[in-house]
Amino acid sequence: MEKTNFLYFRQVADMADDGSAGDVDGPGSAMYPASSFRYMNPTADGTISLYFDNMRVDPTTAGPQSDTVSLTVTQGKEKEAMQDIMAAINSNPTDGFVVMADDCVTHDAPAGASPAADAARNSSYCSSHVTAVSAINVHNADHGYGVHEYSEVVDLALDVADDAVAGNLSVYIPAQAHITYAAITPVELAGNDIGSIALEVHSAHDTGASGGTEIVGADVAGNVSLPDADLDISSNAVVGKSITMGTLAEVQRSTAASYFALVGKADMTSTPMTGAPKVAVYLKWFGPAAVSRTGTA
Amino acid sequence: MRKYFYFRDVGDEDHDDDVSASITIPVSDITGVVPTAITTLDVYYKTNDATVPNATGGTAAGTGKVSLTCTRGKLIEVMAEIASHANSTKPANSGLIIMADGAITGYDGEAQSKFFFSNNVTANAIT
Repeated sequence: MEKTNFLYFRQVADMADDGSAGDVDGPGSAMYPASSFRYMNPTADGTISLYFDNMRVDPTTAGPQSDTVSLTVTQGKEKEAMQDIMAAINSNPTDGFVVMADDCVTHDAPAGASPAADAARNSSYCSSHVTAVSAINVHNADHGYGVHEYSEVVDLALDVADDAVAGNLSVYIPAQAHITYAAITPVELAGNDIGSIALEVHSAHDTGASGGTEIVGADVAGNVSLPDADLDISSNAVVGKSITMGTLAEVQRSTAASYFALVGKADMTSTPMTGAPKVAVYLKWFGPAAVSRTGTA
Repeated sequence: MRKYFYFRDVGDEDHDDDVSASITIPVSDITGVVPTAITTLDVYYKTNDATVPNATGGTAAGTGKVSLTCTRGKLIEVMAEIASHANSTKPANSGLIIMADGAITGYDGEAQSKFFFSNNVTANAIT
């Protein structure tokens, strides 16, 4: 069986106080899987900081991109302390629980228990050169920045007016996205000879009339979609025949969020589409991760 | 074998019907455990599913959490037991490790007992 060591750190002196500081920038203790450990380095004379993958990741925030545990070490013994830390990380305890550093020197216990509440206990460190936990920082970080891809198949409304929303993506992208590529593909056609769609992006979620800017379709500025056409989803169309963003320059969204809508490009109210037309949307962008628009399932 | 932790937070098995009711978490996706109060430990795990509650109670993909109500002063013991269960060799057949089950009413109405992996855990919430 795969073995997973969990690395434990505690900085409170009294066991009963663990948790009293909450969990942001200074919890009383923390435990990380060894696989989350990334690196360590001295950050001051007598201080080593250990960096971990963020325990908490929320794309709607923008916190530091790693958690840190800082240990007080004997000045001049940073190298030896690091060797001991690595040995502890790679140790082989039966239960996988590794006490890396524990400042706690006061017990907590119910009445009658032994050792009694407030009895003294020894602190514990994985190295004789480590003398204290100086800080634990569990940030609520945003891991989203980078290159992302997303695809979703969208069911279309059948009776859509020209330039009205026929379907929305279930996610949006927070501000500061650069949309580098987009494509739309019919994956299920309408049952009749009706249906023309384009992809638009807007700073708000639209229903009804679309307030967005077309990025895939015949009305894109400069006529750069490939091919320069709206997506035909009528019964005469071809499943899988895509329209892409073509040579449209990347779309810098700056401070605006990006909500995506498939928008009707013909009046489909007098003669609505029939069947269950579906369009696959593909997006690629640089920036924050996508966020659910629709809420908990 | 891939191991999974199982948590359930409903009183009646008949109401076990959404992600806030019960969840299985790959042990390998646990990102950490941290106290948020003197009697609360949060177990964080990775999720790419935007429908799973995340670290701040929203629904963006990122990390989800299971909050454990614990005995004050026993947080280290609970963390050690989480590590121990993560490395348990007992679930050799299925890989599913039952960590918490708050159901006290079975599917046909019979009474049953809650179960928690530790004597120092009294409740769990998938938030």
